[in-house]
Amino acid sequence: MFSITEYLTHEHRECDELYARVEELLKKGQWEDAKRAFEEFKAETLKHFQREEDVLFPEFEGRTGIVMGPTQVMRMEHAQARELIERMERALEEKKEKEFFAIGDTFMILIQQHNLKEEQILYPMCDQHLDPSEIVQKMENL
Amino acid sequence: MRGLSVHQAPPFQIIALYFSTACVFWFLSSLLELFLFFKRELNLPLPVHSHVVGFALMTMLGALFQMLPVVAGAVMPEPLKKAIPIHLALLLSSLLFLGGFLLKNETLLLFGATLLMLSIISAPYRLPLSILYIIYALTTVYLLLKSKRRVLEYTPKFWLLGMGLLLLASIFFALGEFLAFLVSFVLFFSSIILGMMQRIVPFLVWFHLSGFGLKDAPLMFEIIPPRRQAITFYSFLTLCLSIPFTLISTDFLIVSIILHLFTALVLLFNVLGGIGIYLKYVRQGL
Repeated sequence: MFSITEYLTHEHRECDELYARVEELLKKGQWEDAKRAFEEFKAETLKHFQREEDVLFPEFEGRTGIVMGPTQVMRMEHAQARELIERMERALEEKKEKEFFAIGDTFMILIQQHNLKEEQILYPMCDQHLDPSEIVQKMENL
Repeated sequence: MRGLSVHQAPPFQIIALYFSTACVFWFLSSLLELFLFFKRELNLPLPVHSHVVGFALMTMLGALFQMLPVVAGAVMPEPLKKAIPIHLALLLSSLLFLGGFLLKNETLLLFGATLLMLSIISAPYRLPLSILYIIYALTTVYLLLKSKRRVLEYTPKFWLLGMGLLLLASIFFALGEFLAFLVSFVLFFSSIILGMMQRIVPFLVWFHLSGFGLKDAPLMFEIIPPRRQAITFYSFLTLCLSIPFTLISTDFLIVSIILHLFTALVLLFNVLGGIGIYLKYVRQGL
């Protein structure tokens, strides 16, 4: 059985690869394929956020009593990431390649430092305080 | 865990203070080089130390305040109250230290030179250390070239140039060419700092403005556009290329100094411009 860290870190890598695919298709000028790949990336990323916000964070907060701590910061960064995903989607619809890459660049830095904080600090704390197999199962059921 | 708390996130003012001071230092050291050149008193230790102490150390300490909560989960309570006195102490000690060089104060000169020599030149470790640096540089180059992402900004180019300079420095180090090693090493970390600074500042400006709830906050590319990063990159590259010519004739020194001055000015403009965008929105109440 996966630990929370392993399960969610794997999802981070999957989302990274899906995003890299979008950029690769755009580089080749394949706009329609890029749009489809973007939809896949968006769905996976938002699903990942939902698993954390609906299952992991409330469980962590309930167990530790820390409500205004790391989970709050992570929610704030999810909101920032969602806004950038929407802006990227608009740029794709309007076929504004340069703008897409500009937003994507900011998105990548945001998400890399966000993932680093989760993987190095938050997830190991969750593994320590919660029952990993139960939490992974709940996230999987979403 | 505490490092992630919203109340303990390091304020942008810290990085703004340290980075802008480092840029001013780099710019002033280029002016100093120019002044000493015309006085025919330019020698290597002073520019090297102004790079290490004023530019590199100031940047690294500023970045440390930002990175500690993320990487180590360590939190500094009331970070501004600590960052400002440390900044002032570093500023004062850097000025005193460099003043010692400038005024040819032998005690300080000897202290600085001994410390530097002890820390980087230790003959028995020279070859293995060079090999380690070479492996690190080649691995980094491989990873940079392998990346599939289409990157419009210049950080990877600064890193590639930096790694090239580190390779050169390692070779000079192994050969015991101290002067050539020192120059290449200073240029190596300057390249990394130039790339890093022009990446961190725009990200933090966007991050804080967006975190304050500003809709469509300016993106990193709008804060320091890639074309302005390009100016610092190519002028710095030209600066690096100009240095071997100074061995042919010291008259070429003026070219290197002017290129340093120009790069420092553009960097200062880029970093202060980014900080200015942040302040503009904050003053407007977002």
